[in-house]
Amino acid sequence: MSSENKTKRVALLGILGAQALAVSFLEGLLPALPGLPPGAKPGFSNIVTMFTAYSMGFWQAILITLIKAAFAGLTRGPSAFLMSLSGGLLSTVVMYLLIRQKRQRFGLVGISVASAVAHNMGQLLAAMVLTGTGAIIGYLPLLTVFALGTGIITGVILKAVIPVLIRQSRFFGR
Amino acid sequence: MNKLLKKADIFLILIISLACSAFLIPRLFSDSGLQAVVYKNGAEISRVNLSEVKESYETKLDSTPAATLRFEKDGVCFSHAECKDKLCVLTGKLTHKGDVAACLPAGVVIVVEGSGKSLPDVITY
Repeated sequence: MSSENKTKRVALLGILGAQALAVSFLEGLLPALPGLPPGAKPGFSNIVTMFTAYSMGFWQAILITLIKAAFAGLTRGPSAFLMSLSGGLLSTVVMYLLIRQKRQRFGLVGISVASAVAHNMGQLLAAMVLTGTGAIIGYLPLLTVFALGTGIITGVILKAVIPVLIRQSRFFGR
Repeated sequence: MNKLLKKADIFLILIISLACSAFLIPRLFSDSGLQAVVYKNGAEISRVNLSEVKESYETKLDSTPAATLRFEKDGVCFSHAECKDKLCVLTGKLTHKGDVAACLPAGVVIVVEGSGKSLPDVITY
Protein backbone atom coordinates (compact mmCIF):
# COMPACT_ATOMS: atom_id res chain seq x y z
CA MET A 1 0.00 0.00 0.00
CA SER A 2 1.41 3.41 -0.95
CA SER A 3 2.00 5.88 1.85
CA GLU A 4 -0.68 8.18 0.38
CA ASN A 5 -3.26 5.39 0.51
CA LYS A 6 -2.19 4.50 4.02
CA THR A 7 -2.60 8.10 5.13
CA LYS A 8 -6.05 8.30 3.55
CA ARG A 9 -7.01 5.05 5.28
CA VAL A 10 -5.87 6.36 8.67
CA ALA A 11 -7.72 9.63 8.04
CA LEU A 12 -10.93 7.76 7.15
CA LEU A 13 -10.63 5.65 10.30
CA GLY A 14 -10.20 8.84 12.31
CA ILE A 15 -13.36 10.30 10.77
CA LEU A 16 -15.34 7.10 11.42
CA GLY A 17 -14.03 6.99 15.01
CA ALA A 18 -15.11 10.59 15.55
CA GLN A 19 -18.55 9.85 14.09
CA ALA A 20 -18.96 6.85 16.41
CA LEU A 21 -18.04 9.04 19.39
CA ALA A 22 -20.42 11.80 18.31
CA VAL A 23 -23.31 9.34 18.01
CA SER A 24 -22.42 7.78 21.40
CA PHE A 25 -22.33 11.22 23.01
CA LEU A 26 -25.65 12.31 21.47
CA GLU A 27 -27.51 9.17 22.49
CA GLY A 28 -26.10 9.60 25.99
CA LEU A 29 -28.20 12.78 26.19
CA LEU A 30 -31.42 10.81 25.66
CA PRO A 31 -33.52 10.35 28.79
CA ALA A 32 -33.80 6.85 30.29
CA LEU A 33 -36.65 4.90 28.75
CA PRO A 34 -39.33 3.82 31.23
CA GLY A 35 -39.20 0.17 32.26
CA LEU A 36 -35.63 -0.29 31.09
CA PRO A 37 -32.47 -0.35 33.16
CA PRO A 38 -31.00 3.17 33.25
CA GLY A 39 -27.82 3.33 31.24
CA ALA A 40 -29.27 1.08 28.51
CA LYS A 41 -28.44 2.95 25.31
CA PRO A 42 -29.74 2.34 21.79
CA GLY A 43 -26.20 1.72 20.54
CA PHE A 44 -26.57 3.66 17.31
CA SER A 45 -22.78 4.03 17.09
CA ASN A 46 -22.92 0.38 16.04
CA ILE A 47 -23.93 1.78 12.64
CA VAL A 48 -20.40 3.12 12.24
CA THR A 49 -18.79 -0.07 13.60
CA MET A 50 -20.83 -2.24 11.22
CA PHE A 51 -19.99 -0.06 8.24
CA THR A 52 -16.30 -0.18 9.19
CA ALA A 53 -16.42 -3.98 9.52
CA TYR A 54 -18.06 -4.22 6.09
CA SER A 55 -15.89 -1.74 4.24
CA MET A 56 -12.50 -1.84 5.97
CA GLY A 57 -12.17 -5.05 7.99
CA PHE A 58 -12.12 -6.66 11.42
CA TRP A 59 -9.20 -4.85 13.06
CA GLN A 60 -10.45 -1.47 11.88
CA ALA A 61 -13.84 -2.21 13.47
CA ILE A 62 -12.06 -3.30 16.65
CA LEU A 63 -10.18 0.01 16.62
CA ILE A 64 -13.50 1.91 16.53
CA THR A 65 -14.62 -0.21 19.51
CA LEU A 66 -11.43 0.69 21.40
CA ILE A 67 -11.90 4.40 20.67
CA LYS A 68 -15.46 4.22 22.04
CA ALA A 69 -14.30 2.35 25.16
CA ALA A 70 -11.53 4.89 25.78
CA PHE A 71 -14.06 7.73 25.46
CA ALA A 72 -16.42 5.96 27.91
CA GLY A 73 -13.51 5.50 30.32
CA LEU A 74 -12.43 9.15 30.10
CA THR A 75 -15.92 10.55 30.56
CA ARG A 76 -17.58 8.00 32.87
CA GLY A 77 -14.80 6.13 34.65
CA PRO A 78 -13.18 2.67 34.71
CA SER A 79 -16.42 0.67 35.12
CA ALA A 80 -17.84 2.29 31.98
CA PHE A 81 -14.57 1.55 30.13
CA LEU A 82 -14.75 -2.14 30.98
CA MET A 83 -18.45 -2.36 30.14
CA SER A 84 -17.98 -0.61 26.80
CA LEU A 85 -14.89 -2.66 25.94
CA SER A 86 -16.34 -6.09 26.73
CA GLY A 87 -19.67 -5.34 25.03
CA GLY A 88 -17.97 -3.77 22.02
CA LEU A 89 -15.45 -6.58 21.50
CA LEU A 90 -18.00 -9.39 21.71
CA SER A 91 -20.41 -7.49 19.50
CA THR A 92 -17.75 -6.78 16.85
CA VAL A 93 -16.58 -10.40 16.77
CA VAL A 94 -20.16 -11.71 16.31
CA MET A 95 -20.89 -9.01 13.71
CA TYR A 96 -17.75 -9.78 11.72
CA LEU A 97 -18.31 -13.55 11.76
CA LEU A 98 -21.84 -13.04 10.39
CA ILE A 99 -20.68 -10.54 7.77
CA ARG A 100 -17.93 -12.88 6.53
CA GLN A 101 -20.15 -16.00 6.32
CA LYS A 102 -19.59 -17.73 2.97
CA ARG A 103 -23.31 -18.09 2.44
CA GLN A 104 -24.83 -14.78 3.50
CA ARG A 105 -27.78 -16.02 5.54
CA PHE A 106 -28.43 -12.85 7.49
CA GLY A 107 -29.43 -9.39 6.34
CA LEU A 108 -28.38 -6.12 7.93
CA VAL A 109 -31.23 -6.36 10.46
CA GLY A 110 -30.25 -9.88 11.56
CA ILE A 111 -26.56 -8.99 11.91
CA SER A 112 -27.42 -5.81 13.77
CA VAL A 113 -29.75 -7.67 16.18
CA ALA A 114 -27.18 -10.41 16.81
CA SER A 115 -24.44 -7.90 17.51
CA ALA A 116 -26.72 -5.86 19.81
CA VAL A 117 -27.56 -9.00 21.82
CA ALA A 118 -23.85 -9.91 21.94
CA HIS A 119 -23.07 -6.38 23.15
CA ASN A 120 -25.47 -6.80 26.07
CA MET A 121 -24.04 -10.20 26.90
CA GLY A 122 -20.51 -8.78 26.90
CA GLN A 123 -21.58 -5.94 29.16
CA LEU A 124 -23.31 -8.30 31.58
CA LEU A 125 -20.20 -10.49 31.70
CA ALA A 126 -18.17 -7.40 32.62
CA ALA A 127 -20.77 -6.43 35.25
CA MET A 128 -20.62 -9.97 36.68
CA VAL A 129 -16.83 -9.71 36.95
CA LEU A 130 -16.97 -6.19 38.44
CA THR A 131 -19.53 -7.12 41.10
CA GLY A 132 -18.52 -10.78 41.49
CA THR A 133 -22.24 -11.55 41.39
CA GLY A 134 -23.70 -13.99 38.90
CA ALA A 135 -27.26 -12.95 39.80
CA ILE A 136 -26.85 -9.86 37.64
CA ILE A 137 -27.59 -12.13 34.66
CA GLY A 138 -31.25 -11.51 35.63
CA TYR A 139 -30.98 -8.32 33.54
CA LEU A 140 -30.40 -10.35 30.37
CA PRO A 141 -33.99 -11.09 29.19
CA LEU A 142 -35.09 -7.46 29.52
CA LEU A 143 -31.91 -6.14 27.91
CA THR A 144 -32.30 -8.64 25.08
CA VAL A 145 -35.82 -7.41 24.33
CA PHE A 146 -34.36 -3.90 24.20
CA ALA A 147 -31.53 -5.13 21.94
CA LEU A 148 -34.09 -6.62 19.55
CA GLY A 149 -35.74 -3.24 19.08
CA THR A 150 -32.56 -1.21 18.83
CA GLY A 151 -30.90 -3.84 16.61
CA ILE A 152 -33.75 -3.65 14.10
CA ILE A 153 -33.70 0.17 14.11
CA THR A 154 -29.90 0.25 13.76
CA GLY A 155 -30.02 -2.15 10.78
CA VAL A 156 -32.64 -0.01 9.04
CA ILE A 157 -30.70 3.22 9.68
CA LEU A 158 -27.49 1.60 8.39
CA LYS A 159 -29.23 0.63 5.16
CA ALA A 160 -30.42 4.23 4.79
CA VAL A 161 -27.05 5.88 5.45
CA ILE A 162 -24.86 3.41 3.51
CA PRO A 163 -24.85 5.61 0.36
CA VAL A 164 -23.66 8.61 2.40
CA LEU A 165 -20.97 6.59 4.17
CA ILE A 166 -19.78 5.13 0.84
CA ARG A 167 -19.57 8.63 -0.63
CA GLN A 168 -17.55 9.71 2.41
CA SER A 169 -15.19 6.73 1.95
CA ARG A 170 -14.70 7.60 -1.74
CA PHE A 171 -13.51 11.02 -0.71
CA PHE A 172 -10.66 9.15 1.01
CA GLY A 173 -9.96 7.06 -2.11
CA ARG A 174 -11.77 3.88 -1.00
CA MET B 1 -23.39 -5.33 1.11
CA ASN B 2 -26.16 -7.53 2.54
CA LYS B 3 -29.87 -7.04 1.98
CA LEU B 4 -31.84 -5.30 4.73
CA LEU B 5 -33.91 -8.33 5.76
CA LYS B 6 -33.62 -12.03 5.04
CA LYS B 7 -35.58 -15.07 6.18
CA ALA B 8 -32.91 -15.97 8.72
CA ASP B 9 -33.34 -12.54 10.34
CA ILE B 10 -37.04 -13.14 10.96
CA PHE B 11 -36.24 -16.60 12.35
CA LEU B 12 -33.58 -15.12 14.65
CA ILE B 13 -35.94 -12.40 15.91
CA LEU B 14 -38.68 -14.97 16.59
CA ILE B 15 -36.32 -17.30 18.49
CA ILE B 16 -34.99 -14.44 20.64
CA SER B 17 -38.53 -13.13 21.31
CA LEU B 18 -39.73 -16.57 22.42
CA ALA B 19 -36.70 -17.12 24.66
CA CYS B 20 -37.18 -13.70 26.33
CA SER B 21 -40.92 -14.28 26.80
CA ALA B 22 -40.22 -17.61 28.47
CA PHE B 23 -38.13 -15.80 31.09
CA LEU B 24 -40.10 -12.56 31.44
CA ILE B 25 -43.74 -13.69 31.51
CA PRO B 26 -43.40 -15.86 34.66
CA ARG B 27 -41.92 -12.81 36.43
CA LEU B 28 -45.23 -10.99 36.06
CA PHE B 29 -46.90 -13.65 38.19
CA SER B 30 -44.76 -13.15 41.26
CA ASP B 31 -45.75 -14.93 44.42
CA SER B 32 -46.44 -12.85 47.51
CA GLY B 33 -43.32 -13.78 49.46
CA LEU B 34 -40.71 -11.65 47.76
CA GLN B 35 -37.22 -11.48 49.22
CA ALA B 36 -34.64 -8.77 48.60
CA VAL B 37 -31.17 -10.27 48.47
CA VAL B 38 -28.21 -7.91 48.70
CA TYR B 39 -24.78 -8.94 47.42
CA LYS B 40 -21.52 -7.07 47.94
CA ASN B 41 -18.53 -8.15 45.89
CA GLY B 42 -20.25 -11.44 45.20
CA ALA B 43 -21.07 -12.33 48.81
CA GLU B 44 -24.65 -12.25 50.12
CA ILE B 45 -24.71 -9.69 52.93
CA SER B 46 -28.42 -9.43 53.60
CA ARG B 47 -31.72 -11.14 52.83
CA VAL B 48 -34.96 -9.34 53.68
CA ASN B 49 -38.43 -10.83 53.43
CA LEU B 50 -40.33 -7.85 52.01
CA SER B 51 -43.75 -9.01 53.21
CA GLU B 52 -42.42 -8.74 56.77
CA VAL B 53 -41.43 -5.08 56.35
CA LYS B 54 -44.02 -3.22 58.41
CA GLU B 55 -42.56 0.25 58.02
CA SER B 56 -40.18 1.40 55.30
CA TYR B 57 -36.59 1.84 56.39
CA GLU B 58 -33.18 2.69 54.95
CA THR B 59 -29.81 1.01 55.41
CA LYS B 60 -26.52 2.67 54.57
CA LEU B 61 -24.04 0.15 53.21
CA ASP B 62 -20.39 0.10 54.14
CA SER B 63 -19.19 0.50 50.56
CA THR B 64 -17.05 2.80 48.44
CA PRO B 65 -18.72 4.84 47.03
CA ALA B 66 -21.38 4.80 49.74
CA ALA B 67 -24.83 3.52 48.82
CA THR B 68 -28.10 3.50 50.76
CA LEU B 69 -30.87 0.96 50.28
CA ARG B 70 -34.54 1.52 51.02
CA PHE B 71 -36.70 -1.46 51.92
CA GLU B 72 -40.46 -1.18 51.57
CA LYS B 73 -43.31 -3.65 51.88
CA ASP B 74 -43.68 -3.91 48.12
CA GLY B 75 -40.11 -3.46 46.93
CA VAL B 76 -36.54 -2.36 47.43
CA CYS B 77 -34.37 0.29 45.80
CA PHE B 78 -31.13 2.21 45.96
CA SER B 79 -32.30 5.47 47.57
CA HIS B 80 -28.91 7.20 47.47
CA ALA B 81 -25.48 6.60 45.98
CA GLU B 82 -22.37 8.71 45.97
CA CYS B 83 -21.17 7.51 42.58
CA LYS B 84 -21.07 9.75 39.49
CA ASP B 85 -23.91 8.52 37.29
CA LYS B 86 -26.32 7.16 39.97
CA LEU B 87 -27.71 4.58 37.56
CA CYS B 88 -28.57 2.32 40.49
CA VAL B 89 -30.80 5.02 42.02
CA LEU B 90 -32.42 5.71 38.65
CA THR B 91 -33.30 2.02 38.31
CA GLY B 92 -36.08 2.72 40.81
CA LYS B 93 -37.99 0.27 42.97
CA LEU B 94 -37.65 -3.44 42.30
CA THR B 95 -41.05 -5.03 42.80
CA HIS B 96 -41.04 -8.25 40.76
CA LYS B 97 -39.26 -11.55 41.12
CA GLY B 98 -36.09 -11.44 39.00
CA ASP B 99 -35.72 -7.63 39.15
CA VAL B 100 -32.08 -6.56 39.54
CA ALA B 101 -30.33 -3.29 40.37
CA ALA B 102 -26.59 -2.86 40.57
CA CYS B 103 -24.10 -0.23 41.66
CA LEU B 104 -20.99 -1.31 39.77
CA PRO B 105 -18.48 1.06 41.40
CA ALA B 106 -19.57 -0.15 44.86
CA GLY B 107 -19.86 -3.79 43.77
CA VAL B 108 -23.38 -3.97 45.22
CA VAL B 109 -26.22 -5.88 43.58
CA ILE B 110 -29.82 -6.27 44.76
CA VAL B 111 -31.90 -9.12 43.41
CA VAL B 112 -35.56 -9.79 44.16
CA GLU B 113 -36.23 -13.48 44.60
CA GLY B 114 -39.41 -15.44 45.18
CA SER B 115 -40.07 -17.23 48.42
CA GLY B 116 -39.50 -20.55 46.69
CA LYS B 117 -43.12 -21.58 47.23
CA SER B 118 -44.35 -22.77 43.86
CA LEU B 119 -47.82 -21.90 42.65
CA PRO B 120 -50.24 -24.81 42.26
CA ASP B 121 -50.40 -26.32 38.78
CA VAL B 122 -54.20 -26.70 38.82
CA ILE B 123 -56.95 -25.64 41.19
CA THR B 124 -60.11 -27.74 41.23
CA TYR B 125 -63.35 -27.05 43.07
